[in-house]
Amino acid sequence: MLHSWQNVVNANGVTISLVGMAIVFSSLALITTIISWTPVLLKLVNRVFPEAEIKQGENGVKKVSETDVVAAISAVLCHTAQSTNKQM
Amino acid sequence: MDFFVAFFKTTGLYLMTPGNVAMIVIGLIFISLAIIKHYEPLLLLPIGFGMIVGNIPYVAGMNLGVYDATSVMHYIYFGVSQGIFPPLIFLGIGAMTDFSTMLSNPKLILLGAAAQIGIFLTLMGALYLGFTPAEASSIGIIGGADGPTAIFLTSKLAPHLLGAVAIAAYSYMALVPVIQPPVMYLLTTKKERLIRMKPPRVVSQREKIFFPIIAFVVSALIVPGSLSLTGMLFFGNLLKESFVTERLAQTARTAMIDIVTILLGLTVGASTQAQTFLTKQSILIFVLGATSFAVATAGGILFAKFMNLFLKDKINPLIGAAGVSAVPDSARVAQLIGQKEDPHNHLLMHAMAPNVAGVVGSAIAAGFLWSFLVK
Repeated sequence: MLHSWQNVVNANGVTISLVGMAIVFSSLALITTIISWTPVLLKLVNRVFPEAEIKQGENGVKKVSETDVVAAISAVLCHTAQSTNKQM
Repeated sequence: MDFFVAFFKTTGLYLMTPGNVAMIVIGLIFISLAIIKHYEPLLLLPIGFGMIVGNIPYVAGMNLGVYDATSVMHYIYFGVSQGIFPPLIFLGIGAMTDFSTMLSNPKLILLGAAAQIGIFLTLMGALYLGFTPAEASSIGIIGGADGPTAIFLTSKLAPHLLGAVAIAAYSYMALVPVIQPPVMYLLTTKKERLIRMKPPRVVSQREKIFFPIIAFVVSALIVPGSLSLTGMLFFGNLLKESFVTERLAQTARTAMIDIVTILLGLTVGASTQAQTFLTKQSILIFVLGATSFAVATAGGILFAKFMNLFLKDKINPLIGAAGVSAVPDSARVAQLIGQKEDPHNHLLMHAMAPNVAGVVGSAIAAGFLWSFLVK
């Protein structure tokens, strides 16, 4: 193997590198631009087709937010307290 | 007595060469690193054991190694040599990747693009050293820090370098916590390492579903060569985010990727038979691979600093280092170094954005090189 800059020139190394970098950059820049505009587009879509809540856990069980859990516990406690008061 | 002598001559003990011993020792080092240091154990352990398997010598004609046409190892290695395993691994990666942080701050994707400079500068370095364009591309892709992508491209362009490139790629992926920090400290100031970034916004489910489809269409239309890798990556992600194919996503990110990783790791390790692996070329590939990794890290960091010249909300340049793929290790390194300066600065979620963008970027780079150099 001969170490020479001529190898790079003969194989169009500089061109391949510059074009390759430009293509990677432009592809990801295009994806960036589209992602940046997606929320705006989806806002318009949501006006016509509102997004349904489809949160789902790994086991197919519906995920519940912490607020919902606290609300459920409070409701049970409140109900229990009311029942206890009535019995008393 | 002659019987025993004849038998002894067929044993591995008799046929063992110093090269085989050296490779077995390297295999043991890989296994030790996996078990003791926890460096990429899912990869280094199968590869390390495979290296031992591949370097047990046997009598010619027994057809036991990966390069013997009718051996069991050869049939398993078919998935590597024909580039079948990498897209399957990408399917699993897609099914386990959450692109939310990237979607919430899309400009961080550009860091994943900048880090790919390591691939192209190393390509030129390899050409300078006398490798052919196809070989140089396969060596350069090591800088993408993505084992499956490196294997995929090398299997298409320079199959004879597959063992060396795969081992170099996976070794350096495992050594991310060793290679990256010096470059990160060298190129950032303490003040920059202390930058705190705004927490990412909440991303809607529709955005998450929309992203894999549009990102695939864009990348595949521009670089059709990346179709197998990006197609499987985004398909896996759609399985995950659609919520209607949970079983398929679960299989892709667990059982399937595990099986493929075992088969790929073992056979890549077994492909490092001393007779074909211990060459001057392999040493050059290892040196170029390390350079490629360091340059890619520097590329991501320097581009983050460049972006900061124009941004109101500054980016912590440490996360630029995560643009080299190596999911999630390079993101973890950014987090660790950031926390050394400020224990309350959590960079991991931000670093995941360039990290996953790097995976897409290196797949696009591989697709481009394949399209350009295919015969």
